[in-house]
Amino acid sequence: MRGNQNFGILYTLLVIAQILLCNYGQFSPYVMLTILPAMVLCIPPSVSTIMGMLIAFASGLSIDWLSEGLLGLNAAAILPVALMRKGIIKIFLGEDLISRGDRFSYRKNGFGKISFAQSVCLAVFLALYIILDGAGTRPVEFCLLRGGISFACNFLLAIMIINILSPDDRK
Amino acid sequence: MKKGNLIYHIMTAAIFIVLEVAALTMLTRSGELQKTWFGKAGQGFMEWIWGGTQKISDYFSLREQNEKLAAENSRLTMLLAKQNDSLFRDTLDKMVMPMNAVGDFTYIPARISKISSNSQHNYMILDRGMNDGVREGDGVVTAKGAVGIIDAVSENYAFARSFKNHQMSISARLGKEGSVGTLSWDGVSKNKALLKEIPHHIALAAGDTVYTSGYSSIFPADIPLGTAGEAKIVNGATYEIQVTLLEDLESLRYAIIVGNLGNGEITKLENRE
Repeated sequence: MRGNQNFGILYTLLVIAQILLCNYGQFSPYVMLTILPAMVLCIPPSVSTIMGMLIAFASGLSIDWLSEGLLGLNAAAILPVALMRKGIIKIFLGEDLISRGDRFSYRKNGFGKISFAQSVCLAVFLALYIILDGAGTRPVEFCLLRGGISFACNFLLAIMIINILSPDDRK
Repeated sequence: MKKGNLIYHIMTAAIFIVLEVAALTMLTRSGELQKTWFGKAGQGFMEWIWGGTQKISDYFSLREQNEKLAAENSRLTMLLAKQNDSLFRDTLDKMVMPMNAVGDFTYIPARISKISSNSQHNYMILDRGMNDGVREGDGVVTAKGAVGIIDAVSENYAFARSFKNHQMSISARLGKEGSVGTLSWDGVSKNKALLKEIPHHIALAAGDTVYTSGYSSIFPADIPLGTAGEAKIVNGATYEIQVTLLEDLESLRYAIIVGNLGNGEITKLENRE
């Protein structure tokens, strides 16, 4: 229970951090910094998919509302990630994790597996975000370049976020 | 899958759809670009849906369309046939027939109802019979050849031996004033015949036209039949000349039945002899 409370506080703080990132972290049109996919992936497996989607939707909407972005953009992009969250965990980290309701960590599950899982979440989110943001007005090359650079930057951010939200129990 | 699980999955999908639609709706309301883009996408989708249903509808109405087309086709065929018929009559009127031939010939236009061309004993059936004045022994000609002889006559039809029949030969002349021989089908080609019994002292020129001689009581004289080709001497006495026929007997549709009014008298004289 205490773990979940800690997770809730950390999650809320990270939503605020994301709002700040959206408002002050736009360095280039080619880079879109986000920690939201990693945050959603780290929602404990014991939390149901429906609840996960509601949390993701609420956080996405909050970010959209409190930042300079378009209302609904983050929410629309993060919802599929929340829907696929348990499936991705099952595929990359094993079904046991879901059935036991355990949290994952780099130490327990390995850097590679978690990296694959977070890559899929990040790719889905970025693809939707860039398509919806561009609304058919940006050239494909620009979208691909933006996606590639953002993926590289956000992958590093995601490692940090997963370390924060899913710390190793032995620490 | 357990019933509870199924309901849970359906609920999950439903909530996802509701939340996603809500997010996209908010997005379209807050961004002009997104609004236009979604509008276009919606129009494209509707076009696809309507196009698809229209295609299905078109497919199921094919039978009706086919019936309409068949009726239209039939109407056009009738029109074409009428036009062809009047053209045929005009052609017959304009046809220059050798009226100054030996004897007094009658000319009856006829349509070929049936024609065979793939056997050694080919025949044709014409849509004129006794009622039209056709008699056994009359000739069948076109402007480009003598194509048959009437063998049998019913009230409305006539059966004719085709020129492409081993039992038929025509008295033919090489050139307008040349030697006379017998012309018969070579039995193999579709447009070749052999002109036989031409004396070997006659000077030949390839390309000479071969005409009906007028020496038989069946065909009038001077109907062009074909052009002379290669010649060879047979038995050291006569030429056998290859003739390319002018008329294409396989594509024949109309012909003229020629009857010699003096034929009965000639036959009587021949029998008396």
